Amino acid sequence: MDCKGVHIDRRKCLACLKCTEACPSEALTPEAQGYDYENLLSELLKDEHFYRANSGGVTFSGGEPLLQYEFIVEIFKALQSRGITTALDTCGAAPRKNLETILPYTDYVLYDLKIFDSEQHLHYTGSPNEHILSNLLYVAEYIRSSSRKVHLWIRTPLIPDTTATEENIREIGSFLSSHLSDVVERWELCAFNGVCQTKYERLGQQWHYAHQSAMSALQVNELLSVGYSVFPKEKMLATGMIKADAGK
Amino acid sequence: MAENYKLSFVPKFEQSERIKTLEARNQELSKPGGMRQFGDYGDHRCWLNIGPFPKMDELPSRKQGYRMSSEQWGEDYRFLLENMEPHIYPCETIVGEIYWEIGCVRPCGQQGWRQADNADEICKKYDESVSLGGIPGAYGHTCPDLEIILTQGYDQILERIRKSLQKYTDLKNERRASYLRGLEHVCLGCIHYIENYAALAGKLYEETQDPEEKSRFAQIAACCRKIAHEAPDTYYEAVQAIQFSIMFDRVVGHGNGYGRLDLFMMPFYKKGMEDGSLTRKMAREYLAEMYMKLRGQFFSFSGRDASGQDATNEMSWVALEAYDLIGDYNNLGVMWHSDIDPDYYAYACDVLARHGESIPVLVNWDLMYASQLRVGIPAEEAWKVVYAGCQWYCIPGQEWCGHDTSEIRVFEVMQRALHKAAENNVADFESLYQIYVDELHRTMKAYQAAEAAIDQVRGESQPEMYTSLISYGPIERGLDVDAPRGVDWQYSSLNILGIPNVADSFTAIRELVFEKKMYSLSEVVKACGEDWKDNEIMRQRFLCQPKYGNGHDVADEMFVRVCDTMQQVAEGYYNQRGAQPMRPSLFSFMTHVEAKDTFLASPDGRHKGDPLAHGINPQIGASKRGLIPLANSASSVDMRKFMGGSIQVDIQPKFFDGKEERYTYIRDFSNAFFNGGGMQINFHILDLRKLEDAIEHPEKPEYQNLVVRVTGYCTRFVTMSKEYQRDFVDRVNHQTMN
Repeated sequence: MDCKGVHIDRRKCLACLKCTEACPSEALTPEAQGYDYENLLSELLKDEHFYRANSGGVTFSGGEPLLQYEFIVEIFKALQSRGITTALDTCGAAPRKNLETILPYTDYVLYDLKIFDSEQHLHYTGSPNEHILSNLLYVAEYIRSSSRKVHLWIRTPLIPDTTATEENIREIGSFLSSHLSDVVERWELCAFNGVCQTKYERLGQQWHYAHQSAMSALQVNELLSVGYSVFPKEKMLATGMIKADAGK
Repeated sequence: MAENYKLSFVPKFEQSERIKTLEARNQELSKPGGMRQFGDYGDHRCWLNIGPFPKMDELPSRKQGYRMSSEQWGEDYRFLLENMEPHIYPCETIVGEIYWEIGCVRPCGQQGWRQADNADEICKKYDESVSLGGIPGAYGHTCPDLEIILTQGYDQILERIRKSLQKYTDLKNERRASYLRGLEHVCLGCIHYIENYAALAGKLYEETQDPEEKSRFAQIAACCRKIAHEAPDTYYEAVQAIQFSIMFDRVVGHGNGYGRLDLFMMPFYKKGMEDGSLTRKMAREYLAEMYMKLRGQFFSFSGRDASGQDATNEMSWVALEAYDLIGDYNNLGVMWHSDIDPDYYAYACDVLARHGESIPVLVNWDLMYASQLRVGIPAEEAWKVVYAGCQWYCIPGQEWCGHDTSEIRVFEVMQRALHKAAENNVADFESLYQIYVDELHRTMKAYQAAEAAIDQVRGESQPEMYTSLISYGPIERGLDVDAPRGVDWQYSSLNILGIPNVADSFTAIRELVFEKKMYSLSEVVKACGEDWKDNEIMRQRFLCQPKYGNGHDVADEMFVRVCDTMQQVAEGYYNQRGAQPMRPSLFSFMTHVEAKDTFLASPDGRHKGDPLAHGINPQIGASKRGLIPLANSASSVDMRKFMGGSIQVDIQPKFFDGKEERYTYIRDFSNAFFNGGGMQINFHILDLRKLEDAIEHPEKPEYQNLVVRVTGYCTRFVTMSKEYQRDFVDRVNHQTMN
């Protein structure tokens, strides 16, 4: 610390978090918090009345919840036993066994399909997508054979110049139409947002999209139209930050 | 004039030209500095300020010399009413307004008991209590039963008074006979006032050529001639009788509620609809007129009936529709319960969402009822409970508890405890907490003694005689509603100031002083005494400890403990007037702002001079996790133990951008809050930027009708003082409802 304030050399950081304990003003705070089963369930059940008021429930999202599937299964079991809806928000990049274990306790599957072209997928995410598509087909089979109602929502994040291309949307839509039209309830195009910008800053990291503005309604609507050409319109919607005025 | 105002809401019903004219006059009276301006609070006055009473020299108490006597109080009251000149304005069908309260012409409230022979003794006890953070101040804030007026009429009431007077005269109970002579004056004054209106309407009828106006004057004259003596028969007469009755009650003083309008108006509505003399539109407009003239009196709708069934009826709808028609300053409540008609509740939430002005208040009937049962009120009476003011409720006509006017400042109690514990160098948190409990007992004892001394003279020094006229007990007992046993239920309702600050301070002290041992208690007391001077890092540590209002277990447990301690201590003290216990209410009216300069800095990280938390709303800036954690914190305490407690929920309108059926968000949130044990929500949908701009530019036309619920009451934002405006906008404004 000097007259310019506190500097953190991230190269030396061991993530011991002692700095956050020492910080008197919460200028430094942990980005995450650990929970055991009892504590997490107790925290989730605080909102129980709110889940019931509008048929809401608990969603586990990323990171990647399938990587902690054993823990989540136990929580899902407890929630379902109380009649609380459970949802899994996954990118699908996990061993099949993890999915097999968790699906029986899941009411909603929110499944990311980011990029249809496997090479592109590898380029941007570090992994090809064959197993992701394969897992998705498994989810579909599970839903078809299940006596229980399980909802499947596909979500495609619209990242400028990466996923937000006509070609990518058309390919994903065609795939969904060909293989999953009977089980997909909705397909969301999730418009890019920059709300993680400050987190990158707090962690001292550069972000490729630091100066990327929100998408315009025109841009999003064009991609929706592409989707409509290959997938049922009534199941599609756009979410996220959309600049209304710029599209006019 | 009618063209000069704009509606600030999306209308569901079209305003007729007549309603527009009445609304325009209403707004003219309510503008900043207008005849309804009431100090810093805004357009909160129910009477029109036309200057001092012109016949002060002829007032009975001036001519005879002041006596601390309910009989003379009644004479003054009658003189005041008989000398209020009637006025009927264009387009009106509901008439009657008042220009003075009794307090304008004779000592009332604290000034009343200060005239007592033993005033020195009372003052000594009063000052002792105030010095310890116990503020006795009870007056009004009860709910008489308008059904008495609607079913008996003034002649019948007068007959009851005279019969009782004869009885006590025969039995040589001069004290009670004297009170009843005063009550006779009050009743005669009311009759005279209404007859004045009948005469004026008759005169205008003769002078007017316009057929529409002529017809209206005939209607008013016939109605007033009748209800000056008899109970009303028609819906219109009933509305007019309520208008007069509430005005008469307001002459007594400010602050009562008026009950379940939907229940007691239903027979009149039904009769009118059946015989074809009434339409729903007419019913709505008569009530809307009354709302505009009454100035935000508290009425409540729905709740349950005597058999526990949903009490929602067609009048519940009409009563809300009347507000929906005009918007404006009102204090209406919808009493939620787990079996409430879902369509009606959806409409109530829709009204809230479209108007955005915290009207109606949403309050949990099931909890109010349970709270009344808990203190021994039998079920056959308890079901009548009604939300009747800011955060409080009572049994109409049977209860006088001084709601919302007395206060225990636990913040001051804590400060004494901290000093004492520091001097004694206590070793652990429990020892500190025990000192706090001991100090709370000290405050309660002093408060009990002061209130008992005032209760001794209250019925004669500050009677509430019109309220007594429409309550159960005072006429037959010859005792005022606020005199000992004047009515059956006379708990002492105590507002509690600073609970979140005390809880958060204790949470921080336990952790930093007794667990981590980073500071000594003496250092904390010293730093607070010096407003954290040169101790900003220390302040930050205290400020960053877990705070109530975030669904945080440690902070909420301390909050519950402090609340429960207050309740357990208070209920061990009985008052003199009813031999009934003190009942805390988790609310403060405005003292969290008004008295802020007298409060030192506190170990929750608060600076000296900052406002305290309002009621059970978190300290400003302390709620960081959003609305649902806040709601969970607020419902962590068992509200059946308390006489009310509200949370303020102020949503930014942009949350609703692009969302359809906005009301569903309010409905679902409130359903969950109430099912989880929450008591009351005051919901705003207000644009913070607009409010900021309105502080700077109160003259802009679009801000003239901006109504806000400040704590428990509503007012036009631009009529409040800047300080109160600032406190309002500094409250947490939630971006979302998560």
